[in-house]
Amino acid sequence: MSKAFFLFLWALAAVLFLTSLPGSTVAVEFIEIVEEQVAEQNRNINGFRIEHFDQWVFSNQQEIAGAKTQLLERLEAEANSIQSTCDLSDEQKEKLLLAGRGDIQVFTQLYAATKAKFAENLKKGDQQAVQNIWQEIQPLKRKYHGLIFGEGSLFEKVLGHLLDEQQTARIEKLRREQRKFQYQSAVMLLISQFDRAAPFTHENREKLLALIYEHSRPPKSFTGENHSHYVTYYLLGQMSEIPEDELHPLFEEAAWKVVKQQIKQGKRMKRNLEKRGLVPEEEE
Amino acid sequence: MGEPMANLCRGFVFLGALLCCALLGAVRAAEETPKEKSEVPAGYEDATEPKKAEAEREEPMKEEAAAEEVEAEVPAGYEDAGKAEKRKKRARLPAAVRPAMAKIDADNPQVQALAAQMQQQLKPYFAAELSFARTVCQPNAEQLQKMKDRATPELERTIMELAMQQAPQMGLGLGWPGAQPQKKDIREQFEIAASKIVSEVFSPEVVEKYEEEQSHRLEFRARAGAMALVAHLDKRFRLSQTQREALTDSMQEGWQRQWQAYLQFMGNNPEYFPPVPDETILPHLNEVQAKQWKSMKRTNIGFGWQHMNNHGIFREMKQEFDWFGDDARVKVPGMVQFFAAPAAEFELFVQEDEEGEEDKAEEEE
Repeated sequence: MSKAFFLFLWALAAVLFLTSLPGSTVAVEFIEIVEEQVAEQNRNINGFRIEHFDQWVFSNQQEIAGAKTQLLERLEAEANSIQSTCDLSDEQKEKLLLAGRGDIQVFTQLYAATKAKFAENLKKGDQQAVQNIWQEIQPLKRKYHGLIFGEGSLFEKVLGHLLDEQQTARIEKLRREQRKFQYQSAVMLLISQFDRAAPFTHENREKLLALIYEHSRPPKSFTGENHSHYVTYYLLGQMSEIPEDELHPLFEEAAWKVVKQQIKQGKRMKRNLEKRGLVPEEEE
Repeated sequence: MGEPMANLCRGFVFLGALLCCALLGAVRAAEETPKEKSEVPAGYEDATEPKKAEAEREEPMKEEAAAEEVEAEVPAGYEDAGKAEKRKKRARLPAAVRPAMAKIDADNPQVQALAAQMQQQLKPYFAAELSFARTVCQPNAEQLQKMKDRATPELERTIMELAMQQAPQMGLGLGWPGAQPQKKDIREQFEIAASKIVSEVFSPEVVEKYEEEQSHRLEFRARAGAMALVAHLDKRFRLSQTQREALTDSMQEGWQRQWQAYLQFMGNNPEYFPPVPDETILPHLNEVQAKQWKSMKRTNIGFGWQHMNNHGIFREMKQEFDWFGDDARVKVPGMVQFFAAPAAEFELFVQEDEEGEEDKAEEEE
């Protein structure tokens, strides 16, 4: 006889025995415990729990309500910045806000659908599907942390219709400045990182800063989560444009070996970086 | 025997048989379980089981880690009253007993083990500082040898000091009286140690040059850190160029070395932002941005020395000059040599902590 049959008999006997106890609710409790255990297993596959979903998307303890408030605040800041740069009328600004709220609505719908799918997979106990959901979370994360009002959004489309040529040029200038600042900050951080392990003299640090600014360009896009790691490799790749005889003397020999290797790595990652929008912007 | 009695007997027999079967089933199932487990082909085992066991093993560790984290997140002045009281008591101890307490901690094997672990991990940071001193001060052979001779004792002294600052937080040792765990930046401790060696080995002119270089370096680091934080805010607040510049200047001016650690984590979790005071930021924001700033989550986290396990892209770099040789290879007992240092040196050190404690007491009042 199969093991399952014996187990069934054993369970039946246990239930019979438990129910025979006078006035006992043990059997009911036993069934409840079994049900709870099954539910617990459904909620928790390989350590994944439904509660983790919001943490993955929003990178903190925040829930969707708080995230929506934050997105609305960001929308207002974005619209204000454009209004003051391009002298938009209140009516034009309202149109932008409406489009942005549409983007937030699309985001929350996508969030709800992905979360429901994740919950469903957990309930089914489908381990593979639960693990695959990670790929679907990435676009949500990227939207939440930066791209929501960016390329392809309703906000961007409405903005394109609202602005005339002159205003578009002003917006482009505004964004170029933003990217330039992000890029300069990334360069400074990279040099700081070098400096921590292989400290420079003031003169060499300034030379390196000037060389990187001279031979590299900011990327076209600086949005999206988890970019800082890729930005470092973008900059290292850009450093390959600096003539070696100018760069090498700034480092001690041991540090240069590492830097040279990392520059090569940055170059090798070019295609991967391009996929993330990390391509040099065109010159003005 | 009547019919009902016969039925009752049949019923008992059936139940008895059922129970026997069940018992047999249970025995068989128990016997078969290990065999069946071994029949599962490799790679198809129930993956959740070992994970469960592992999770169970990890649970207390996680709880401990969480407790530590919570402890680290408690801002100054809001700690557990008992601990604060203990610290105050220790701070009130007469200076005469302090070296004795410190000696007890230095001899504590758990504190020594912590120091050994820290030494292994943090040694490259001190080596980098010494290399910087070498580049700036351009020592001759004799001076270089002097630097090398002082390197290992300074490393051991600094590490022991760090370990004793860290120990009370980890429930080890008595705790250095007046010690404030994580109050000082770890890199700063190594910079101080390197600067001490420089002042012992070189002429005042060279020391001045070294200090000037060091100040440029710190300035650059603060500027880079301030810019990174402003760039982070810019993504949310959409700052104007004027605002970016003003905020960078303001943050650089009030730069705290502890904020540096956040930069490492902000890349992976944009929600990490150091506890920059409102007065540094708010004067430069408009109404909407100020509202955003107020609702923005800022964390007060002591990252501790464990986060310094990553020397960025240089983690595999071997320093050109071997500063420590074999002498500093986790030679724990040697660390207590520090306490054989001249009393004046020791007193100076304690005084520094005392001042810190006084500041804290004032804040509390």
